[in-house]
This record gives sequence, C-alpha cells and structure tokens, in this order.
Amino acid sequence: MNRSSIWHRLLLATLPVLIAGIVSVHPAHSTELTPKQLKILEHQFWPAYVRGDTAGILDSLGQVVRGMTDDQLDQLDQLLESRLVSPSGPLLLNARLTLLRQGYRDLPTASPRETLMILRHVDREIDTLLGQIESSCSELESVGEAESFERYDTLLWNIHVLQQQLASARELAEYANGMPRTRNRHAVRNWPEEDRELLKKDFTGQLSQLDVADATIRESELTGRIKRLNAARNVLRRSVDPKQRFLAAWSIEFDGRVVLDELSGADLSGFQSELLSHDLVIDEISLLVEESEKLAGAELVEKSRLLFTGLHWWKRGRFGAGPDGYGLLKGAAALTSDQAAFGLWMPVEIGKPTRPGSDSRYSVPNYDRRHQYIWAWEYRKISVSMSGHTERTHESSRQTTSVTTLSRFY
Amino acid sequence: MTVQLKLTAEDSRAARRVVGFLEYGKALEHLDRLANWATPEELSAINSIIADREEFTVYNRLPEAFAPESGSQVLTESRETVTEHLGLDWVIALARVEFGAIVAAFTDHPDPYMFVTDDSFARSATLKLLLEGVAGHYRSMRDEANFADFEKQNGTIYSQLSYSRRVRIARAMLRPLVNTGPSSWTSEQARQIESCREYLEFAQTYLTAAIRSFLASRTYQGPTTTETRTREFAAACGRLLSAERREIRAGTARITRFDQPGNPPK
Repeated sequence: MNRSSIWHRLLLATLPVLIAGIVSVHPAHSTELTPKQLKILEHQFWPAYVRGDTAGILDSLGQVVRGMTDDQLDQLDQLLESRLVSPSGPLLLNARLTLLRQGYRDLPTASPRETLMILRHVDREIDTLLGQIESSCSELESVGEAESFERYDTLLWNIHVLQQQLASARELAEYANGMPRTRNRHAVRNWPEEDRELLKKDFTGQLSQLDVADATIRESELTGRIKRLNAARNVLRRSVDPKQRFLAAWSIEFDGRVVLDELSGADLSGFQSELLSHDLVIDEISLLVEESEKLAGAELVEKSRLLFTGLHWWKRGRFGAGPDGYGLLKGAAALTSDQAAFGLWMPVEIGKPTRPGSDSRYSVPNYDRRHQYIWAWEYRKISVSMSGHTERTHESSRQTTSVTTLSRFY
Repeated sequence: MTVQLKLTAEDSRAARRVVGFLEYGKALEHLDRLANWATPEELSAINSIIADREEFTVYNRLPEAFAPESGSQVLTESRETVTEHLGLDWVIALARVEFGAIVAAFTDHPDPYMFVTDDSFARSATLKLLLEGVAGHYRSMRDEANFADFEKQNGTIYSQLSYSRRVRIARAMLRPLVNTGPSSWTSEQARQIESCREYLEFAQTYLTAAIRSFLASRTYQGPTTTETRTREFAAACGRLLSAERREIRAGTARITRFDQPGNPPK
C-alpha cells in the first residue's frame, strides 16, 4: 500500500469523527443547550433576573444566545417558560429598551443571532398589532348610541390599549432601524435566506403604516366618545336611576374633556369622518357637554370623577407591574422622577382575581397581597407566579387558554 | 378627614419605588373623599357599579401560601370558606391595608394605619383584612424564621434586615386590631392577638439587636473593609433604627426585654 492510499484510508476513517465533531460544536446543527450555556443561565442569568438587574440579564442572555440554533432557542424558551419567564427575544429587546430609557448609552453590541431574534419579534409584533387595530376600530364604529355604558367601556378600553401598543410598536420599529446589522457575511452564511433578508430589513415602511393606524385609532376613539356623550345626555334627560346617572355623569366629565381637548388642537379637515370634520363640531360638543352637566348637576359630576378616578388608580395598584423585583418595584428612576414613578405594565384583560386556593398556574393579580412580598425586597427571596401570560379558565367548558396580556400603560 | 398620611420627602423617597404606593395612595385620596360625601342612595349605586366589575372582587381569606394548618384556629374568623366581596368598603379596605404596609416597610412613619378609627368608612372590612394580614405574617414567620439560626449566620445582615421589615409591617397591622379592644374579638381571638403581639415585639427586639451588633462590628472593622453593597445595607439598617426611635417617641412602640434572647414567646 503506498503512502497516499494510507493517508486516503486514514482520512476516510476519521472523516465521520471529524464531521461529528464539527456538527457537535457548530451551532447550526445543535439541538440541546450546551453545558456552557446552561452554566451561564444558572450562574449569571437567573441571579440577574431575580435581582431585577437589567444589565445583567442583557449581558448573560446575550452570551447564551450568541451562536444558538433555532432548535436551541426553542429549548431555551421552553426552559424560560417553565420558570414563568418571557421568551428570550422579547426579554433581550425589553432589556435593551429599558437600559436606553434609563440613559445607558454603551450597550453591548448584539450578536447577529440576537439581532435576528429582536428583528423577528419586532416584525411579528407590528404585523399582529396592525391587524388588531383594524378589527377593533371597525367594531367601535359599528356600535349605536343606545349601547350600554359597559359596552362602550370595553370598546374604548381596547382602543386605549391599542394606542399604548402602537406607541410601543413605534419605539420597537425605531430601535430596530437603528440597530447595527452585521456586515460579516461569513457569520450568517448558513442561515436560511428568509433570516438573512430579515437581517437587512428596513422598518421605515412599517413606521408609515403605524402612522396611518395611529390616525385611524384616534378618529375612531373620538367618534366613539361622541356617541357615548350623546348616550349620556339621553340618560340624564330621561332616567332617574342613580346608577345610570352616575355612569352618564362620568361620561360627560371624562369624554367631554378628552374630546374637546383633542378637537381644539386638531386640524379638523384632516379627519375622514363627517362627524369630526365639520366646522361646528367643537361648538356642538361644547353645548352637549354644557347641557348634560346642568342635567347631572356639578355635585354628581364631581362624585363620578372621584369614583372612577379612584377606581382607576386602585386597578393600577392591584394589577400593575413595575420593571424590577418581579414586578413589585418600579425602576430606580422612580425615586426621583414623577414620570418614572407613573409608568406601569398593566394586563390588557384583567378579569376576576384568582380565588385563593385555586390550582391555577398563573394568579391574577400576580400578588394577592403585596404586603406579603414587599418586605423581602432586599433579601431578594421572592418567588411568585409572574409572567407575560394570564391564564383564564372558562367555567362552562373548563377550557384553559393562555393570552399575552402585559402592555405598556400610562 | 385627611386621607393620606403626611410623609416627609425623605420618608416617601424609598416607598416611591414600590408599586402600589402612588397608586393606592391616589385611590384613597379619591375614594375616601367620595365615601364621606356620598348619600346612602349614591353609595348603593356606587356599590352596584363596582359589583358589575369583577376585577374589583376582594377575597377575604389567607392566601394559600399562608393557609393555616389543619385544625388550627389561629387568628382566622372563617377558615373553611373563602369570602368574596364586591363593594366600595372592600375596595377602600384593601387599598388602605396595602398602602399602610408599604408605608410601614419603607418609611419612618410611626403609625401607618392611623386612619383606621372607630368612625372611619370601611373600618370593619379593613380590620378583617388586617387580621388576615397579621395572621399570614405571624404564621409564616413562626414557620420560617428561626431566630436562633440568624445568630449563627455571622455577617449575613440581609435576613435580619428583611425580617425586621416584615415584623415592622406585621406590628403596624396589629396595632389597630389591638386598639379596637378585646370586646371586638372572641376570647380565643383576643388571646391569639396578644400572643402574636408578644411574639412580634420579641422578634423586633431581637432583630434590632442583631442589626445594632452588625453596625457595631462594621464600625470596628473600619471603612477599608466595607464594600459598596454592604454600605447600602448599613444605610438601610440606619433607617430602620431611626424608624424604631421615632416609633418609641410617638408612643407606638415600647422597649421590651426578654430574659432569654433567641426564644420567642410561645
């Protein structure tokens, strides 16, 4: 046997081993989390998460996802989900945005994999939101003035939520556009074409779509509030039921203020709806509010304001979540800034609080009594059901659905 | 009646970070005023509006994590059933209990529940939630906090500080219950409230002594051995001791001496 054939046979014999070695270390083919990744998760990520240390979360999770395959990402997200934590993509993006809002300027550069995860999340969020806006606006436009106050409440709340989500989506798109994209073609050469395209995506087009959606929502909200104002005036003219008069008085106080504030500063010709674009709209609404206030009486209007404003603050206290300390705490900026002390994450759908003793995995609110947990802040031994999901059980069918519920709220 | 407690800027500084401080404070500012102003007919309409919104449901029972042991009658009125409430009084009561707990935990205010008086709206609901709260803290601490173990953990001030905060919350909650007087309770409940008070006073004394000891040892070690993290805790310890001094001055706390530190009252 000559030397070249020996080398040839040796090469053939070792090739599977070499390939196996390459496959095992090349992230494109791995499916399980590596010991190193698990170690970073256990020793760096979890402690940072429990401490509410956003910079630590970004640093450790950024290291973990670098070079991961989609299968590994699925594994990671399952692991996070099992500990009631959001998926890695939103977690990384939120960490980056939180730090930017807190004034950090030198954030670590995202790896190509992290960039892709963030862009995927942004892309998906914006598309979903645009669809939701369309259906919610048409639902509000279709209601008649005779609709109950409760129904108006629900529809206007949905619009409010969408407005907050829209503001968040704009922030996401702007951030995505500003993210440094890798120029290293070698690093992404094995990626699917779709992912490589996403890595180059310009979100300017989606920002324009969000602008249009913003105008649509605003108009839809105003027409909805004017309808409710008319309904409230009718109640105050005809009804002596104290409950209905309370609800009507609140509509006059709140809707009247919101509509007049909005219309006074707006270019009326820009509205599509005839209800809003004619020249006398402000005078008409002012007269409507004035007449209704007289019908209700100043005292009832003030009492309704105390009730609904008080209940609104109560809901924020009961169901709101801050960015730190498993939602128990606001950011450090809240110590000195009124604006920072105000912002909270609120569930989109609140529903009935979980009955104590229920075996539901997720509890609504996250803390049945805050005082049972806040004392442990410094010790950081807080362990509760906290996640971006709320579990709802339908009594009739006993079916359980999981819905994404956390949304920016102001 | 003034709805919110008067807090100094320094007092409210740390509390501002806790979710619920601003929110429940604002809620009380509006709802207390309304409750004192509304006519009975309006209160009935208000309760009906709240009853239509299930998110305002308040349950009065110990959370599962703090559920009493089987057969135990400690500090609970109706252990077997969860009572569900929907009304302005329960909404206000929950806000007051949570707001007061944050004030107790993160400020020096000597009496966070000073507005729970005989003539206050929602007094009955508030007392029930306070009772539930005290019972939860008391039972949990008896199960978890082994004060003898704390003594062995040299240098770990974290547990002591955290538990002293918890004791402070529980003691603040207990005060209106004690002030209500024994006639409001069954003799068994009154006995339990008294033993709970003794236990919490012991715990506070013990923890305060541990914190003082930590501060003394830190002073002895000198600044060169101090880390940033430890400094934060030292500052927190200082605040805690200052809160204690203010409580004693205000007459809402008293100095209790126990013969055998490490053994809580039974």
